[in-house]
Amino acid sequence: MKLNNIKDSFENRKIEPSASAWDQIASRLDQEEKKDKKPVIYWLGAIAAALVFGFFLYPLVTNQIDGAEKQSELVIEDKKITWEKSSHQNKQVIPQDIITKENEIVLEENGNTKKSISSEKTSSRKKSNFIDSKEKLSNNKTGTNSAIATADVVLTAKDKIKNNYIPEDNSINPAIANAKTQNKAQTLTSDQEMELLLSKALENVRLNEVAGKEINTDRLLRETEWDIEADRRNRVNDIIYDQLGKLKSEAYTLIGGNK
Amino acid sequence: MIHLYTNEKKLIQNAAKGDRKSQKHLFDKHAPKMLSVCRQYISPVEIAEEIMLNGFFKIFTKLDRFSHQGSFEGWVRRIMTRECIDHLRKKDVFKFKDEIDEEKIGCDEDVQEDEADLPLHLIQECIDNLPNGYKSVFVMLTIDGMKHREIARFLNISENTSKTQYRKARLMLQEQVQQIRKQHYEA
Repeated sequence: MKLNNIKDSFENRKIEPSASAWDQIASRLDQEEKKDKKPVIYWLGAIAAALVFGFFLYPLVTNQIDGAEKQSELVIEDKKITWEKSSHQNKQVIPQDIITKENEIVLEENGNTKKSISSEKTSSRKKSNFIDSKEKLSNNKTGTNSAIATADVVLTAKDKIKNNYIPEDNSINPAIANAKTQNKAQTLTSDQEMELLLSKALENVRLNEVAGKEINTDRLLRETEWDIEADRRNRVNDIIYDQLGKLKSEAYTLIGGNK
Repeated sequence: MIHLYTNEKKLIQNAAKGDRKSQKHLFDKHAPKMLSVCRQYISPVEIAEEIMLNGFFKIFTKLDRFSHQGSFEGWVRRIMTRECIDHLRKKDVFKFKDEIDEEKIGCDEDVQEDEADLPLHLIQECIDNLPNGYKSVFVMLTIDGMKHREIARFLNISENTSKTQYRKARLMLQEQVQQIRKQHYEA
């Protein structure tokens, strides 16, 4: 027997392994497969959880952005209101020009009674406009919590007052009204006096309401934001708990199925 | 032959997908030969079987790496050899000596003749008695048919060290064969 023969005899030699040899390998392979499958389940769970969170966080984030934009708009509108209020007050501060104008009108009235009547007519028309706007304000006050709507109504009322009523009609301003009543004391009738007094009272009410509205809008905004936020949180929590429950049950079924 | 080859290829493909029946079929087919390979390096046979099972476990978990270009048995045999060498390395009994005394070694042909007279189980016994370094190089070169360059790369040693180990292994084997023969004649 030479070297090649030794090689051949060793190569052809067979030693039978023990009976449990295959079972040992099979059990090890099964364990290995389970190990491989577990991370897949964990990954699936993590991806599902991330998707759920993303799905419910996206609208929250977008709503927050929208809310911030609306808030900024409201702040701008509030600023407009305060600016208009201040400008209106400025107008109240300079009654002298208006008084002189009024004096001129009174002088004209002495000269021409028709003119004064026509001016009274126009002023009464404008007063009715003003009363409409007040009605709108009072209606909206008892309406919904929409601060934007009330702010818009206030703005429209303001616009009306600013564009039509304030520059020409002096009855809004109490100082003007006083001057008017003093100047027209001899010429005014009792009905006209009543109208002037009414308009004065309405002006005071309007100013108070505008001042009150400003405080109410802020407070209402905050309150509604808190309510919305709390509601959202509750909804998100409920949904997350539901989804996690589903995921858990699916994971248990998967693990149970593997076993 | 082609039919058998395609069958084995299909078996390997199925086993790579985790099919237990195909895996068992491959195991039953190759395990006896592979246990013999492991036994060449490692004794006793129980530990050799443990090493073989580790080797098969690695084969079945990395079967998708087999390229189907060479023979499957050759690929499995190589994995088993590596597994045995790793086991010997872990036991820290894998030491090589570069010193060589050419005059003391003698002729290879004489050794062949001495080895040739003995039955296979006695030759295996002689191989088992060799130090791990000598044994590994001897088995790789004589039985697995590897060249010194391959063995050097496989064991991370120089070619000269491989040659030295082989010659020393032959010298030791010659001594052992002579001793066994004496015992046999005396009996």
